[in-house]
Amino acid sequence: MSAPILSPDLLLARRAAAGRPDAWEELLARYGERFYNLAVHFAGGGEDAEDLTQEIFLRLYQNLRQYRGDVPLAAWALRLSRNLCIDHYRCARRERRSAAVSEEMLEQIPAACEDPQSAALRRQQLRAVYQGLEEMSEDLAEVVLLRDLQGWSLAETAAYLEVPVGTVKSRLHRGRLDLAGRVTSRLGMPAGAVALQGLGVEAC
Amino acid sequence: MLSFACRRFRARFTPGANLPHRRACPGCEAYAAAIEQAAGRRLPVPASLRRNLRALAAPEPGAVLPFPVPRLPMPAALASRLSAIPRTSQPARPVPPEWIRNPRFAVAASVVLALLLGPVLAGAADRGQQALQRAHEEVTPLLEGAGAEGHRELARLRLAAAAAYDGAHEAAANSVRRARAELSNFTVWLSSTTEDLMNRVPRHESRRDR
Repeated sequence: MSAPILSPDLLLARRAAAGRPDAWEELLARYGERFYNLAVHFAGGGEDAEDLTQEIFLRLYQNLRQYRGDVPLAAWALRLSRNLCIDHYRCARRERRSAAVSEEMLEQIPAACEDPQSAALRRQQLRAVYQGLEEMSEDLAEVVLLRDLQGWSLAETAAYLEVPVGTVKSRLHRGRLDLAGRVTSRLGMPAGAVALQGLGVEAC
Repeated sequence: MLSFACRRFRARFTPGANLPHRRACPGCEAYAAAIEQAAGRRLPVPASLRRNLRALAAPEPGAVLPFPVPRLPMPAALASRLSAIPRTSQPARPVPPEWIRNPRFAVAASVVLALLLGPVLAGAADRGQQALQRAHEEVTPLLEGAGAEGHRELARLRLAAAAAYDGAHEAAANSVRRARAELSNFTVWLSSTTEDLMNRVPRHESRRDR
């Protein structure tokens, strides 16, 4: 009888739970930046984002032994801190911090786009998207944030939200439509565009 | 008729190969060019496949932004704080299963065990009680008989012991009486002897008298 094949995430979690420093460093290298960027979205940047990131990893470390490998580790780790993320997100929304794109993020744009005009357009779009997200309902905004802005897979998003993949697709479709309507009206573009792709914005 | 070198070149040639014989032989150069031209002809890519291939390089259709959102690098201070987590915290132990932590499960398990083992244990208990009763019935007369016999034996032993005690006591009393009589006789003899010794004249006085 062959031994069951353990997923890389599960192996990594078990090694980290056993106190292997290299495993914890690998885990940080794999998910640190990802969770930090997500925390920036949830908490609006600054020290709150750093504290939220630390809390996510602390809970992950304390619960590593309970990970069974049935869902992606990133989604499972974030699920441990979901209430905390939601609290930060609501707090940031109340203080209207979530609508403001951090300057650090805007500074990253010219590095990816040489044309100053395109870079300025991207910044404008990014601000409009963030403001649109703030006005949307939480469940739709969360899916769009994870899938489109953070690049999570459908499986990871579904595992984090504890809903079927079909539900994620449905919410994603409705969220994109909702957000596109808000962004197009904010940018003064003609209504009816499904998404920013339809606005004639060219990627550089 | 092709030379050996030409035959070997054509056997080994594949489009794009740059073998030295190709430059030396015009016939083989023409052959290689014809082969490469034929290999360059390809079927046109279907429109649907072309769309799919183009979509690979483009952002996901329907995405809210036509460009990836910039990723922020993690601050160095935060990275060091995260690295220090294993030194300041401990992974929590797995929580025991509910059936261990909750006493209701223990009660339920006891009830189930009692229901399952009750008939078996009840039969065994009946058999055990019957065996005990039978043993009691068989042993009780023996014990009762042994008890009466024992009582009689004890009385006989008690009489014998009393007789022996009386005999020993009488013998001891006689001995004491004899010893007392001997002692009084000895005392009388000793008194008379002492009196004789005390009434005699000292030796040096008798010598002087002589």
